[in-house]
Amino acid sequence: MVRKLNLLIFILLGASIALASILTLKQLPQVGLTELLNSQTNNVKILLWQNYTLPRIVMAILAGLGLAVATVILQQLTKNNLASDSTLAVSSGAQLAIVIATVFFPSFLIFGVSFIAFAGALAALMLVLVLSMRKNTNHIIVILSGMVVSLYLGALSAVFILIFPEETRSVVIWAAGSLIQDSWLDSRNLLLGLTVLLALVLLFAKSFNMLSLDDASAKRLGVPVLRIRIIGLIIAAFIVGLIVARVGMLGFIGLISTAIVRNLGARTFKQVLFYAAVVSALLLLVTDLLLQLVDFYYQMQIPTGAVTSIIGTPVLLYIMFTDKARTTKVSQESKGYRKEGGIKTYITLISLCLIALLLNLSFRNDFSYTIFELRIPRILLEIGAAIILAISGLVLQRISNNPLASPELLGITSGVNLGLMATLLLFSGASLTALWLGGTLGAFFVLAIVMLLSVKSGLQPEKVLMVGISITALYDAAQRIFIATNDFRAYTLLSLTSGTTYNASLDSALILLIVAIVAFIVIYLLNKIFILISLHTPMATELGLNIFKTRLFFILLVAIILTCVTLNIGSIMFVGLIAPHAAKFLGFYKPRPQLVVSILIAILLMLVADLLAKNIIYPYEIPVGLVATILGGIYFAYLVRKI
Amino acid sequence: MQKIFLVILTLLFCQFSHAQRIATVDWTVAETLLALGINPVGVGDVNSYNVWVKEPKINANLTADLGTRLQPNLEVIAKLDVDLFINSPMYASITPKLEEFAPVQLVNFTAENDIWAQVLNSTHEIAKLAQVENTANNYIATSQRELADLKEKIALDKGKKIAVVQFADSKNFRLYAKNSIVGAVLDHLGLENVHNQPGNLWGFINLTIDKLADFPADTQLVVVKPYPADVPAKLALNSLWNYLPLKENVIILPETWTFGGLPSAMRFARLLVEGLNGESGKW
Repeated sequence: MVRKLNLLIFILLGASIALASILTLKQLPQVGLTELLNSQTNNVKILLWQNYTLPRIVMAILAGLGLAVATVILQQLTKNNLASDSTLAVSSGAQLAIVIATVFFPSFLIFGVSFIAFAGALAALMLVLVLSMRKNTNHIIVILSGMVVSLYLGALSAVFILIFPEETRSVVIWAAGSLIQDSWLDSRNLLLGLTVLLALVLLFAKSFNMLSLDDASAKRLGVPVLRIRIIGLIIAAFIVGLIVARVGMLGFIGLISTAIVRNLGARTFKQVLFYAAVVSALLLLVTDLLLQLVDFYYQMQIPTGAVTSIIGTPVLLYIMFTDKARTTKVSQESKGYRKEGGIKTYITLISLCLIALLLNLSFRNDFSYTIFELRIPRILLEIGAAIILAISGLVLQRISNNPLASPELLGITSGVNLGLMATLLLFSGASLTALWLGGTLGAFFVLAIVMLLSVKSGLQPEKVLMVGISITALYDAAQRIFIATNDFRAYTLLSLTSGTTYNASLDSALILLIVAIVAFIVIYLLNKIFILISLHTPMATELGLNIFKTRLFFILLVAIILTCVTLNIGSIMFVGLIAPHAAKFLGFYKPRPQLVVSILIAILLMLVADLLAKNIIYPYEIPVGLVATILGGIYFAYLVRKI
Repeated sequence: MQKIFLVILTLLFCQFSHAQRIATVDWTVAETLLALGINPVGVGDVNSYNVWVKEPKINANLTADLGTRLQPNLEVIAKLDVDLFINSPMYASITPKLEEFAPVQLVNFTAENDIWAQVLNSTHEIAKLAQVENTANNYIATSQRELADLKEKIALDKGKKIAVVQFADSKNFRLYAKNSIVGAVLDHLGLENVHNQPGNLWGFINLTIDKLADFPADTQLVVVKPYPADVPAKLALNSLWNYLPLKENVIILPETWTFGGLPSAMRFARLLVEGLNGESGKW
């Protein structure tokens, strides 16, 4: 078995040497070997080769190696083959920290980039683990948490990039993952850092190995489980921080290599660690050399990190589908019984909504007709969106029995965004109608893929969500490449997709509101089906429920109403996720009450977000979707601890 | 009799006080209006205008801040009672929104080829819309005379090429091409641009730092602010940078709006000549 791995390494090594030689020959025609290594050379081309090409090769090797080691450690600590620097939001955390530092404390960057990145990486990792480590959890939930946090941190980065486009100009290039070097400085420092960290890893290798056992056995064998876990997390976060600080996010490379290596037969912790590190280093090197050659022949600079992200997405999908470990289903109502919510809560919520509505209408209003004309469509749009998001979240959570199911993970939003991006790229001065058409086509395209890939399992919701996550990750990478080209249209795309009601018209708002109300009525009437579907599948089928048709119907319904929302507003995260949870938290468990209360909570959230979005930096506006995401995210972190 | 006198006076007064209330989100349009003596009633993103464009100065008492350029605050616009919007293709997506308040005229300051003619044309168009054509003619004539004067003052060796760049970070930079106002100014000042072909639609090309080695050894490098704070430090540690002869006398220019119109072009020209004659800033 291990022979296959050695063969792979041999092939990769051969490929890298071949590509490196080709590149060198192209860059330096007719140069002898001794001249090549002359450090006192006066030939510019040789100087370039020594100080740009060589360090870049070393950096690729080191980055690949480091990310693989971090990934393997994370996988060992979480006992989850899907864990990695990308899926646990570690890289996103590092990046956000650097974005914030770039905008507000630029002088810090000269000295402590690595530490800032490390702080961000560790914070994000802690957040994900706190959110997902509960008694009855399975691998997918951990990854869902990781991706949700990753999306959230990405949204925060987007706010900063949108509001400070000039200050963040340098960040967006690096954020797409670029291995370009201009001296030996970065690679030398990384080598030093990695050497220390790798030494630590080897020191603790035995203890990490022991974590393969369950906690009780490990403790009995004398392993200080908690301490080792913490040390492992810190080491992993530090490695990722060091690397991200220098080359940006190289998405999924750790995950890809560990997947390949496990598939080809590596079993023990040490085996996986060693082979993943080597394969990752060589794979990244080969990819980067290929991209350098593309740049040489076609003058196209494609960021390496984005390429690995795009390749990594299908790999992520593949691993998720073949993941053998299936732990118990998460039980829903196990955390004790709360008092059933009553009339008082309804009244409080409705009053709060009305107050928010009044504030929104009257703040900074000289009560002229025009102001009302401007505000009412936007408010109606927000209410319609809130209803739809609450319904989508509730439906998805109920049919998948998964509390972390949320509309944004279904992939539809990303489908619309992909359609918008394609339209902007193909038609420079695209009109609003053209964009709508493009977005809808994108949504259907993605929906088709989601269906295709999960129809075999009977549209098992877990599978559907997995495909959705992958597509979201794919769009994230594509968007990053687009922004890195510094094309003005990229900023147009950002402002279109960031959740703004700016383009609201009374017609579109009313249509959306009607769609929302119709959806509400449909779901309200399908009460019985929801009660049935939360039973176990065999029982439900015996009671006359056609599982496949039911799932198909609901997924299609949610997809359609989500497309309407995304086309009108762009992406709004967390609202669909937390509204149903908050409803349960307030004591409304049964489908119908939960539906109504989720909607009220979602409306309240959107109206408050709108008030803040329009007035915090008046006359500049923050997209309301972004504010809702941030508010929702905070509430999410608070809620999850109570679930 | 007195009544008739009063009526005539009022009518005359109305004619004189009918200055058009013009608003724009585009900085190039705004700077052109200001240079022609018109104070727009609203400009997009005034905060950033004051950082990146700087002159002509916006009078905060007369000009309202419209907010983000791609999403100007419609309530502010509603209160401003605008007569005319002048917009550019870069912000064409908001034209339908603006049309609900006042007519919108489009003016374009970018070109794939003859950028100078395009800039002058657009300046005339704006002048016509603001009903100040004479001022425009005077302004253009004065500017061209000033360019000719500046050309005399330059003390640069013949044959030396100039590279005007802006650093995005320590490894990537923009090089301004023939079809930017930078390129046009270099042309008028009799200086040779190291990249004498058109760039992208906005007049530049993106390069990585190793491409600096492709420039002729005696190229005069002109760096336009802003650049990220860590660029000077990183460049000092860069072996290629230390090897290049052109690093010896780099000229650093203060912030200039390199996608602007005539006012920005003139600002760039003045700052460039000052820099070439030895009065440049340091990293």
